[in-house]
Amino acid sequence: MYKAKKVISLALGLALSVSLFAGCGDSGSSASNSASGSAASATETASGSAADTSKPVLEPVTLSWYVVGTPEKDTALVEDAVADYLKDSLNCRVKINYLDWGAYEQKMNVMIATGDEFDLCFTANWQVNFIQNAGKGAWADITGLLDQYAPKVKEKYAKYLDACKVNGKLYGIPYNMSGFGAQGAVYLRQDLVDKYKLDVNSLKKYEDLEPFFDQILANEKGITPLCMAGGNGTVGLFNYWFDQPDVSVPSLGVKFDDQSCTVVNTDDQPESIHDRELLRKWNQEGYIRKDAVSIKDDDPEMMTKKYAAEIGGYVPGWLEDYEKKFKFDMVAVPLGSKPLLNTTNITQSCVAVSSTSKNPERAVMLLEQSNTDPKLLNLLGFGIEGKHYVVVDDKDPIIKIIKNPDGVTDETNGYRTNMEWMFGDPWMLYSNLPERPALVEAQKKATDNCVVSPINGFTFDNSPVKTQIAQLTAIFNEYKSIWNTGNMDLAKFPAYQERLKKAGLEDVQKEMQKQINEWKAK
Amino acid sequence: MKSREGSVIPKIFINIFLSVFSVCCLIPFLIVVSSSFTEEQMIIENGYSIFPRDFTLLAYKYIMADPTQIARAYGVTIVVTLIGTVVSLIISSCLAYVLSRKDFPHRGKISLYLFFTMLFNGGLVPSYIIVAQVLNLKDNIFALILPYLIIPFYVLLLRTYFSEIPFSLVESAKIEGASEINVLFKIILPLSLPAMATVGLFIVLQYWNDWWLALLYIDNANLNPLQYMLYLIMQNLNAMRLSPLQGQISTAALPGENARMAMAVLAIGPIIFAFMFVQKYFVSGLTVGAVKG
Repeated sequence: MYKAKKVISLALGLALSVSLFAGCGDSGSSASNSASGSAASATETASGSAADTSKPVLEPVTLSWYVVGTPEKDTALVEDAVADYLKDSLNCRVKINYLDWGAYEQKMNVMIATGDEFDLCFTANWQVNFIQNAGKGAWADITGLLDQYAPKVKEKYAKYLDACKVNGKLYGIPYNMSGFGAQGAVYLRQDLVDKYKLDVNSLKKYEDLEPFFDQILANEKGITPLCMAGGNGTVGLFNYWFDQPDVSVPSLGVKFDDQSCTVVNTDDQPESIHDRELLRKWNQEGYIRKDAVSIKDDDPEMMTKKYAAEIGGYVPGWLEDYEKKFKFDMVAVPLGSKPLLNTTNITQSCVAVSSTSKNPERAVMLLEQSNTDPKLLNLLGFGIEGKHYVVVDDKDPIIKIIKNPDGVTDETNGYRTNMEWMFGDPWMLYSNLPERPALVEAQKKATDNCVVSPINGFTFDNSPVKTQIAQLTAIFNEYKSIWNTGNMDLAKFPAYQERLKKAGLEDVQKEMQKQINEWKAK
Repeated sequence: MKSREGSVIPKIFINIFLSVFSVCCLIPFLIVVSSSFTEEQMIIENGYSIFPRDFTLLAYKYIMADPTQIARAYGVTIVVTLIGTVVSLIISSCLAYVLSRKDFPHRGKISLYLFFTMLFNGGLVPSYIIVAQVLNLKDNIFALILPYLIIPFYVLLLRTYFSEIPFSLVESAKIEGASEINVLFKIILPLSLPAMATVGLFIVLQYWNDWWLALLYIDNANLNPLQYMLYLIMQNLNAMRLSPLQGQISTAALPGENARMAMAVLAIGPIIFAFMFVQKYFVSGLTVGAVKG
């Protein structure tokens, strides 16, 4: 009897403590609500004072900004310089918190979950899930703040801001403009191209590579024509024919030129069938290694010099980066479909204001300035002129060509982050490449050439079909490496489709269509 | 006699099995050491090997050119391990001793309380709130020490060992006029050396190998312990590989394959010796809490 009492009291205690934690969660969200409420009132007072005087005197504040990067020795010095530079305008100190790639996601998620106070942070659809966290209330709604405090940013990024909206509210500012124009391309090894006198200008589609691949197979022992890795995501041939609202269900999408926004099963479409058959053929011919499925990542494979070509995204300037990484010369030939501007691409990197921020309006003002004032941006990104870099060429009005000061190398430089793009407009950054201004022009053009997806700005809320999506993702993950490397018998494709259907592909399709229709009606 | 001869064959099997097993344990370690002495380009082109293909000290030179990072990480780890182990042993043994005393009325309840946390704990978010927001220990070296001070399993191990010491020893010491503190430190602990050494080693390893607390609570790179530094080096590469922004992220600044291995070798360093010193207690300590015939 005594024992039973003990057990009951224990169970009661447990239930109590559980309810306590549940209570914690609730109070957490209500706290964030009240925080945003007070933020709104703070906004009003701040705007009031802004209207009163032509040169408002702002209270000094510290904004903490979390970005990815390896912590640098001289970060405090740069913070001092930024505070000095902003003293008469924003009057704020920016605390730059570099967190390593390996720690960023976990640390930010814990901070968000516990309601830790910070102001700005890097987020994306693949790091610290931007859209999910927007739904959870982690970010401050900056729709109104942007109108008031960041009119230039609003105008400059007007084309992209729709994609950063969740349920009609703006939660972030994108800053990876240079990556939007990425087009599928084949990277070929320069030495082999020269040896076999391949005319790269004659390449118009992927099939045109076949004679070259045959030559490699026949004459180069130990070299596989094409480097493909089963471990990569849905790379395939890098054709963006469809906008897939949910990356975990790549079988559903809207065709990039379908203004009626009909969700289709992408696997049934002629473009996908063509790509699939081509990959299968290449695999059979031996252009792709038979064990490519088990390769995790294609870049380190390519570095071994055992391949003649690799498929990847291309934007002017990226070839040079790859060459530096691989340590041999290559040519890039864009062969994939035109780049697509859609929600997934734009939310690949954003900066968001935290809902725990005490000064969201100042944070937005800071974003306005870091995206329009090259001096501030480059101070944040490259440090102090004369100490962390020296200018070698300032012919271009914005992009100065810089290098390390004499006697300083990348290793001994106290502020060489390689993460300068975390702070704002990438096209205003200084560079150590003399050809950078021309590259920026080319990148701008590539981005302007993007096909804008008919459902750009739509974000799919997968909660009504979560179980189906979990099943579909599992099936997809089982097959993706085999499909991507052309390793599966096409005769087995219907069986795969059948499995997807059983797992509820059509339910998700209907739900997606429903949400797209609602979104369009708005 | 016969039965002894009969046991030779199983012994051979056991020996073969154990030899193969120990070779399997050694090979990865050898590969790490050998890669740290190999030219980076060789690793990229030919993969890892057990013996260095062309011997070079470049990786170690690269690390030693600026040893501040690794030296500082070593400093943090050593300080944390030393303070943590000493304090943790004192607190754990005091607690375990109290629980082992049959004349302590609330031992059942306290044991249950302790045991309960082994099965259920508050989880990540509450513990983060306690450490970072209530105790305000963010970016503080104590955030690396305090959370591991009492590990229930070790306390229970010690308690079991202590309770095997005849209670009459305690009684006679008390008759001689020893205080409770004296009984613990002069009689019980010296008698429990094997258990203390074993638990001590476990605690040393716990602190030495920990990177999780640093991941949660340390932003300041100067306070990064060794394992966290290694963890970051490895994770940074992985995270970059997954990034869709590959074109923009420069991997040039990352240490090469061989440099990473050299760091791993340097980090393994002293902890190997900890095993040697406590080995003689280790075997007897492992039977702590086991039923004796």
